[in-house]
Amino acid sequence: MSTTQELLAGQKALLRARMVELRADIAALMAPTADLKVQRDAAIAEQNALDTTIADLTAQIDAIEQPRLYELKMELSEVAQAESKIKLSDG
Amino acid sequence: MVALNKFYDYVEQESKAVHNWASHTYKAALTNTAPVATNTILADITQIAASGGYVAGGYTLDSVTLTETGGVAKVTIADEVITATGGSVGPFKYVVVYNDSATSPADALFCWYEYAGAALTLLDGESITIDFDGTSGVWTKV
Repeated sequence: MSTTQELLAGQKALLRARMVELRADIAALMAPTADLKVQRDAAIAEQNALDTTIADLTAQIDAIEQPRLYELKMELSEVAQAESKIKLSDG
Repeated sequence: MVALNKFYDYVEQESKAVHNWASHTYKAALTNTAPVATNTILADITQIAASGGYVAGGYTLDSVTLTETGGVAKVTIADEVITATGGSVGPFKYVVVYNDSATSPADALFCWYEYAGAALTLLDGESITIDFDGTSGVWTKV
C-alpha cells in the first residue's frame, strides 16, 4: 500500500472508531428512557382504543342526525337572513 | 367573503392530534376585542358578556362534517344563526371558532372572522348568520 492509501485507511479506521463511540453515547443517553417509552406506547395504545370508541359513537350520532341536521340548519340560515331583510315601520 | 384568520398554534395542535374534526365539538365564541394570531386557547379571548342567550363559551356548531375526496380533506360547517333572546347580544365584531373538546391545551383555538363593519349589537329577537362556505368548505387540506 502507498503512503497516501495508508493515511486514508488510518483516517477511515479513526472515523469508524468515532462512530462506535458516538453510538455508545447515544445508547447510554437513551437507556434511561426505555421504560418511559414503553409506558408511553401503552398509553398510546389506550388512546387508540378510545379513538375507536369515539369513532363508533360519532358514526352512530351522524347516522341519526345527518344529513338532515345540515339541511335544517341551512334552511334556518336562509329563513333568518330573509327575516332580517324585512323592515317594519311604525304606522 | 369574510377572510378566515387562522391562529398560529392551530397547525401545531393539529399535528399533535389535538383536533379531530370528525368527532370533537367546535364552538363559535363572540368578542369585541380583536384576536391576535398568537392566541392559543379560548381563555386568551375576551368574550362578550353573557346576555340575550349568549353564554360563556359561545354557540355549539352542530353540524361539522369532515370529508375526503381525491386526497383532499375538507371541513364544512352548517351556517349558525345567532338570535338574541330575552336581551341583547353584543356588541361584538369577531367570531372565534375553537375546539371545545380539546383539553390539552384546553379549548384550543382554530380561527377567527372579523365582521366587516362596526361592531354589532343584536337586540332581542334579532338574528345574524355565521355564513360558512358550504361549497369550498371552511378549510381544505391536501
